[in-house]
Amino acid sequence: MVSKKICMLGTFAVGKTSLVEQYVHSIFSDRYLSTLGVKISKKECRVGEQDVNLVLWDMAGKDEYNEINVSYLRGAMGFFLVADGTRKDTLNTALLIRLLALDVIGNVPHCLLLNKADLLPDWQVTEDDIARLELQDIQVLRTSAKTGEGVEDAFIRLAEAMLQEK
Amino acid sequence: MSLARRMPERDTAVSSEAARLHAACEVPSVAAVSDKTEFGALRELLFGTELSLLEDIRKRLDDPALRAREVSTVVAEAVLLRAGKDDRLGKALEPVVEEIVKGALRRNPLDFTSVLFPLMGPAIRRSIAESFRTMLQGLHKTLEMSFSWKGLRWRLEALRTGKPFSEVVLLHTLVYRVEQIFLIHSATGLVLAHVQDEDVPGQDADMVSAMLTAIQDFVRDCFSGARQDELESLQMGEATIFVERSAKAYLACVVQGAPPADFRDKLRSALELIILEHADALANFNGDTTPFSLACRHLDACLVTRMIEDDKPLPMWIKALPVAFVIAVVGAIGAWRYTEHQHAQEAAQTRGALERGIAALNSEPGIVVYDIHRTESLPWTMFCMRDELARPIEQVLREQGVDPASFHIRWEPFVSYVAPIVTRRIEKAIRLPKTVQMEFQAEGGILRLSGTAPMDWILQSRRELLSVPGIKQLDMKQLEDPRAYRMHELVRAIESVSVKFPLGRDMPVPADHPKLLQLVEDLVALERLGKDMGVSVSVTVYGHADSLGQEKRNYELSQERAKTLAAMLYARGASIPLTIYGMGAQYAEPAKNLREGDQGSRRIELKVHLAQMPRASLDLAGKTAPASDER
Repeated sequence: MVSKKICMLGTFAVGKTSLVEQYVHSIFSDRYLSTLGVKISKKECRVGEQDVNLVLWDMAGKDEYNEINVSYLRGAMGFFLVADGTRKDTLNTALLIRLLALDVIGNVPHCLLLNKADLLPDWQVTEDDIARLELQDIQVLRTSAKTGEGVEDAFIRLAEAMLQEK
Repeated sequence: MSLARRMPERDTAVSSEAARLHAACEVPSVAAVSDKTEFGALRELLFGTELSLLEDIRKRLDDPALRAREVSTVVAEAVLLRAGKDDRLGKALEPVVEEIVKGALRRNPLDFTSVLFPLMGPAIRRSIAESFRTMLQGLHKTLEMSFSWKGLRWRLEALRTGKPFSEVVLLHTLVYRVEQIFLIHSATGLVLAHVQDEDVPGQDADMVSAMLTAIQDFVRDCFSGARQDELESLQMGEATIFVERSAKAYLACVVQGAPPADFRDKLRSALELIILEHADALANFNGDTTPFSLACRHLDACLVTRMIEDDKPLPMWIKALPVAFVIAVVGAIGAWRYTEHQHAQEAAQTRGALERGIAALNSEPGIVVYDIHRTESLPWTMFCMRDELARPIEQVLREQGVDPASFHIRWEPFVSYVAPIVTRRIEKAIRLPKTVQMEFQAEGGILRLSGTAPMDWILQSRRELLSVPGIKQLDMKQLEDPRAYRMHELVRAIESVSVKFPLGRDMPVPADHPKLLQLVEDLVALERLGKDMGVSVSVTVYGHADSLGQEKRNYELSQERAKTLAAMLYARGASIPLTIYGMGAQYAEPAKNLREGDQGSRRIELKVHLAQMPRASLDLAGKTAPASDER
């Protein structure tokens, strides 16, 4: 069995926890997020012929008052940056967090999830924005924690990317 | 209150006395009814004072309230008096008091509790503490007295660690259970291996280990500050999570109860082994936990449960008692027989060892076994005598394959006259040169020395040997000083030389000239030897003439001959002082016996003079050494 530590990063209320809950089961209460700043969840999935155990570190959102706990980033083999498509500022924060994470854990596989795809008409993030991100070699995926759209696909893709890393 | 109320009824002595008084007063009172006035007046006259007194007494007896008041004034004294006399009052009151207390308890138990608590609380605490202490002491003593392996091991451990014994016992007897052990990758918080007790409900190890790592990160970030301190354990109630870490991985161990103090060492050892075995896998860890499945066997070893042995197996044990008894009896008989057999074997072995030991010691020069016996307190004891020059007793025994520890050995010193010991004694007393041979005859104690040695050594040795125990006769006749011997030879050779002269001449006959060379050689040797031995040597040359011719001429001629010979000797290298004498014809053959050409009397004689003739040997034949006589 292969296990991978994945961090969920992003500012508040972008739907990190909802995305995780859509995808995994957790034995810990959400209270941990506010007390410890992290909540652990787990998902077993199959990538090709390989069973992968994804241990998800759902980390409390960052804003100007709360810094990301760098200790929790240590040892992560991949991470998701989550932004709310309906709020463009959350994308900017996600990109800042990306730089911090790359600085701490190195260039590991990661993926930017633009959440709330179910509210597409309200999106502030435009196709141009996405194209610019992709030009910077940032993988961008649209997800909806509410409908589950793109969620499983996002996890599988990150798992594949991590498995290719040696 | 109730005690006072019941008193008149229960005190039978008091009530019978009152009845008697009452009866005495009753008779005149009836008469007074029949003839009230006269009799009453008469009675008044006669017993006025007594009657009022009687009336007073009657009132006191009839009125319970008054009686009670009166009794109350003396009841304490009465109780005291009676209690001092016997225990009947106590016995009489016992059921009453019991009843009262029971009633009061039933009616208001809380009151009693609140009253008793301050008294009972400390007493109960003291009692529990005392019981616990007694129990520990009892345990301690039991273990002290017991020779069980466990007890001894703990005692050893107490000695080794310097902890009190009871502490070691407690450490070992406390209950604990290791429920789960996680082997966790330090950086990622991913679980590498996980074992758990089968009775413990399972949780998701991956999530628990990640959360545990997060908690540690959180605690470290919050409280460690600049120091790189780590969380070592988490405690909640009876459960403890022990964290034992290394750089790459750490162990988190969930334990219920208090594990022994060495449990952490055990964890650490397990972790070190795992790190050692999986160094490569840890260094290149990329999420693949497969290589760590082998680590579970080390973790399993730490997954222990220790319970205090309870009484549950006792019934089985009791059931097995008869069997155990039979086994014990059979075992005891067997052990006894075996012990007997062992004793017999040991005795035979000891006897064999004794016999061989005695034989070995008695055949050893300078050692004599004169007694053996045994007592109850001591094993076999061997009494010996040993010359100080004999070999050590233990060595002799060991050489014969006898263990000296098989018996007790006591020895006293003595002086042995056996040949090997006397020989050792002689060798110790004198340094025997290689040129001297020694022969000791133990029978008669005769020591014979032969060969050559310097005379001063011979004399010195003689003195020494005369004081050596065991030597009764000293034979040194065969022992010679080679230099003195040589000197004797030279003197004999020189003095035997005779040089002949022709008639009327002072030059030796040519035939004797070769003798002179030898003579000079001998004289030189003699002089050197004399110097060497510190003996002054001189030689006199006597010239002789035959009896023919005039006496005066003969003297002259003899003197000439001596002079010539001395000159010839000097000329040939002699340096020894030579004195010359002309002897004339004093020692010549008478003329009538002399024949023509007979040179017998025309000769030279030499005489050697030594200031002191050295002795070449000691002739002690037949003499007994005085010292040995005394022995």
